[in-house]
Amino acid sequence: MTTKPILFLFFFLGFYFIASGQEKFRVKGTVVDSVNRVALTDATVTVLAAKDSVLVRFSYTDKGLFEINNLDSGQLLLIVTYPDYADFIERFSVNSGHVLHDFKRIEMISEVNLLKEVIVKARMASIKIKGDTTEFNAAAYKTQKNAKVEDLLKQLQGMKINQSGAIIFQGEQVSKVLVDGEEFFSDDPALVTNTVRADMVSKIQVYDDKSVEAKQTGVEDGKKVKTINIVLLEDKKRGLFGKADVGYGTDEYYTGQLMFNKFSPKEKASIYGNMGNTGKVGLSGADHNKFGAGYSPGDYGGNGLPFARDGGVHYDRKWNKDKQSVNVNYKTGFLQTEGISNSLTQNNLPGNFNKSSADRSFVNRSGSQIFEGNFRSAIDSVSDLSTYASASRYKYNSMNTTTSKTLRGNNVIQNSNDSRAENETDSRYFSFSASYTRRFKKKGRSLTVNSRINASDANSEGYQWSALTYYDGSGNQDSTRSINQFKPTISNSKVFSAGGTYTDVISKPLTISGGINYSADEQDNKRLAYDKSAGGMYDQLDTVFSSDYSSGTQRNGYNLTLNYSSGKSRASIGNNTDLVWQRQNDQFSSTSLARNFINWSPYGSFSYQLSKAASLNFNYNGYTLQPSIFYLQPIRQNSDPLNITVGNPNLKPEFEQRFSYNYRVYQPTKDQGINFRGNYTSTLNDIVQDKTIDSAGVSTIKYVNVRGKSPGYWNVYAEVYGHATKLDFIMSINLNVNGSTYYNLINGQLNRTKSVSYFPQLDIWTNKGSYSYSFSIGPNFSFGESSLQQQFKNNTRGFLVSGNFYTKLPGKFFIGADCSYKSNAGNVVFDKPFEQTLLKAYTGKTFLKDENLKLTITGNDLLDQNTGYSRSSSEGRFSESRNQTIRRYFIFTVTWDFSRFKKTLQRQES
Amino acid sequence: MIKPILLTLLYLTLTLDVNARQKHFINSGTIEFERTANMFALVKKKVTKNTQDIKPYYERYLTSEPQFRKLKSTLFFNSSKSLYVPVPPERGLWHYYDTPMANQLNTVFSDFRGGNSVVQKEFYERTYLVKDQMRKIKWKITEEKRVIAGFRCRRANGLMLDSIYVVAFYTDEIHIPGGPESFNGLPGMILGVSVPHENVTWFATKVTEAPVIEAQLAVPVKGKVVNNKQLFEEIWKAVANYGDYAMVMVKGLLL
Repeated sequence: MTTKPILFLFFFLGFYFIASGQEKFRVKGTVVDSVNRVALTDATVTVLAAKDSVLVRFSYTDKGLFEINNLDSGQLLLIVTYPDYADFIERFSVNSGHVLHDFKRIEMISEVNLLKEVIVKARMASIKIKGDTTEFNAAAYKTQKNAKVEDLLKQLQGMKINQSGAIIFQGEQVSKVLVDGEEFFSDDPALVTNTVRADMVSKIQVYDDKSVEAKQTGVEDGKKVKTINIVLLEDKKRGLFGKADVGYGTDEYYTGQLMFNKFSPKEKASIYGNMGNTGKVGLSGADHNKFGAGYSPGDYGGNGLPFARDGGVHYDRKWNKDKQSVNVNYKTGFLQTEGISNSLTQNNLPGNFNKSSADRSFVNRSGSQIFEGNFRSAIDSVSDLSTYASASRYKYNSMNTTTSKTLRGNNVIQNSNDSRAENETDSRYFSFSASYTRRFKKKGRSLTVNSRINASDANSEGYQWSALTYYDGSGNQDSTRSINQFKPTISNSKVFSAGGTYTDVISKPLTISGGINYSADEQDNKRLAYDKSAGGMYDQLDTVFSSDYSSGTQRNGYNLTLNYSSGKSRASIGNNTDLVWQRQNDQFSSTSLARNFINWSPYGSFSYQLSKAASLNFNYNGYTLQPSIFYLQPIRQNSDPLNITVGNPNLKPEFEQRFSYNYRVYQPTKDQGINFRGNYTSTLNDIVQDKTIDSAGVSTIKYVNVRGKSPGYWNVYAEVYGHATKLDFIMSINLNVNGSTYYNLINGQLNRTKSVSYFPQLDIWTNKGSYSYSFSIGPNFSFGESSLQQQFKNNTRGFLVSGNFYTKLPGKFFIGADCSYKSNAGNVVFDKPFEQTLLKAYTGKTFLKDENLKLTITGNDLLDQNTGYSRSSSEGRFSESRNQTIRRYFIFTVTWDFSRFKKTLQRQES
Repeated sequence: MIKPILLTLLYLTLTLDVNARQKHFINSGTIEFERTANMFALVKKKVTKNTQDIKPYYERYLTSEPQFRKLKSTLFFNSSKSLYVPVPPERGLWHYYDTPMANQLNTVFSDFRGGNSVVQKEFYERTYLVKDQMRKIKWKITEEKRVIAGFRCRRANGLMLDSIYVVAFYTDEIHIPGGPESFNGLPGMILGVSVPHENVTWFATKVTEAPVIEAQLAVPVKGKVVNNKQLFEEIWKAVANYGDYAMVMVKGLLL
């Protein structure tokens, strides 16, 4: 090869590329082999714009030398390539203070050596908006090696993961996470996001799904289930992966975790086990929402000191050309929490108020076992059968000791109470459902029939001791009352429902569907209270505080929906009418109450795709809400002798309506966008609490309708996000505003509680292969007032700053820290201001080629300030509480991540 | 006497060592390209709102004709010039199936030193000689690589003629910023091109290193001399009556 053509080429390049005329900025260097330092002639040197990888200039080396002139100022990328050598890629910048960038010597590594250079990446369009679905392209986000989906989610615009691990997308909680559209560990969000590796993900889709009931019965109920679907990369659908993690720290803190997964395109099997007392593992209570249980034993919530262990197995499989599929999950868990808490509450009364304080210590233990499975089968090309079964059992026991005291507004004592309660509950749930769909020759015409059986029973045994003292207006002891009772409870319910939906196409964009649904349920509720007799046995039934009700409900539902869908717009409108017949028998008094009523639930929705990247959605839902039968005919119970509930047979149903609005736009070229969401819910004929407080401080509660007022709540969320031009981070500015107006009656007077909270926030974050940081700052302002106590405005002002960083250090070491600062100013009601800084720091080292083995030492709450503080205001009261919680400790952990896939694609960066 | 021999030997070993590492680069030769057009998609584009009468022909094409139409061409190049010459098709297309994008209309001469090109373009019995600057394409370089005709190529995504998305693969082993048709401007020879929305691809099937004589790089001379702007006007005049199909034709004629 002669030098002549090269010189020509240089000449041509210099000539051809005189574009912007600025000859000032230049880059030069020498390219050599890294081993023998021989200059490489004819290496290709390419300069790209750093922000979008657009080609700017190129040249070839002559005896190793290159020089490229006529560059514009700014951030640039240099790529040097040579056959059989790894690409050299590096960012550089030139500007008026730095006219010439000299790379000096660039050593090219022969491809025989492992390629460890940074891979150039154009700013990809990271988001797609399709109707109500937001789709994130995982390749546009960088994560550390062995990172999990959770680490990926944290980087997505609009996605936040709060301290208790809940995933929030644009201000709404995500309650379901699917893997390739399939349920995985019965869609427990935290479990999926901590199991699946980030490097397996191709796309993350976020959308509003219908509720399980709506899907099973085909009847729209207006409930939206925020869902994340994780779409896996084709070449990561077959392989083994998992994690083992062991940690031990100061103050006997420890964790242990094991996860093993085997995936193939048709089959997924997973097993996991967790154990620990740091509150970090196995504490999600998401499952319980699904079963509607009265308590959520798995919910740690940050109060007290937890000890948890749990485990589970998942298996799903498709066969016979995917015509049949099965998906089963089994999970078991145990959680013990013990702690102490104290709370301060102000109750607003007409022209007066009282303040109560309570100190509580507790030990709660809960155990659960859940089995869930579904089977789907395509019987033939036009019909499908799908069945679902679940069975679960919860055991719960608790011990509580409370000392409380109520002071009148003038600081004179009103009452005091020492109480202790023990309770043990054992409950079981069972559910089975099946649905059959038949499609007809005409496209869009189909018939679905479904049926469901639910059964549950719960037994509990409890003991209650209480010593109450009442005081008169001048603070002298007035009377005392003591309770020592054994309180067994037995409740069970059975529900059966069946129905069908027929869908047909009227004309091309218009479909109609009609359905009928019948359901019947039977419930028994026995709550007994026994006093201790002289013989020391609990055998004297306290009839005043015992009840035994049985109730039955039959329901006929009729549904009609009209759907319109064409190109860019989709709309649907419909109504659901329920004819309900209900009766309740009081087994003690042999009296019964029967009522018939009609529930209306109209709904409508409209969505419009403004452009490829912008969409607009409206939703309306209305519901008749019947008063709970217990509001009509209450259970008399003495579990809280200071709060007594009585029935009101004249209660009328309330009607709730909800409007929501959503607008999103995204610019893929700049990776920036706007989200706007708003909703308003108001209630007609609202059912509210009517509380009468006597001079001794005992509250008697009943429920009444309020007419002519419009209580409700609203929420507005707006977000703008985009990339910073110079420093390459993403910035999001968002504002969340919540407002509510509630009514209640106190001593016969109507009280209105109004509150508005503003949460403006600024977030910036960046994530490169070797370092990441994020920073978030936001004040918050809450304005609360109740009309009966105009002088006490519960206005609070707070401030939240949080930040974290992570960086790799030479020698495979890494270091990182998370810090958050929270402050709440004092106000008229709560005179004490509150301030807290939580700092966590960690450092460690990774081993092995893929950094599979990691040793970490973590210091939690280094400043020892975690006090479990919360403050709230609700109908006619303001309250504040402090709870014992996990504080400072240090822990040493060893983590081993393993993965083996059939074919690996080098997409993640080191 | 021994010293010079030793020195020579030492020199030879060193240079041999360097040469062993020094890769060989091609700076003149010929490249054979194969152009593949997805005719199912191209014929379908002929069916528009106002040309529903073509629909039966489209359906007939689907059942009676092959999906892919493959055409050959040759690129002659040295370090400063190239000439792209299409090989005439073995058989033509019936009028109802024919569309500009299904054919090779251009003989392209590129002068990399001057940054100019001369394109001899034949369509509808007319011949134009387009003399203008080489086509400007905005390229984004990616990390994706694949091997074409034995050469390792890197992918670049491009945008040309304002709106046409192009994917090209170039090799850094041939230091000529050229390619088939008017594709150019990358730091190496383009051996593969795909224009996804226009359903057509070009891939090199054979690269031969050989000296290229000036006669093989002769500038085309036949046709009415125009520049790009004038050509564009001529094309619009020619297709003005084709309704929705006109835009499809324009893209095919301009490419």
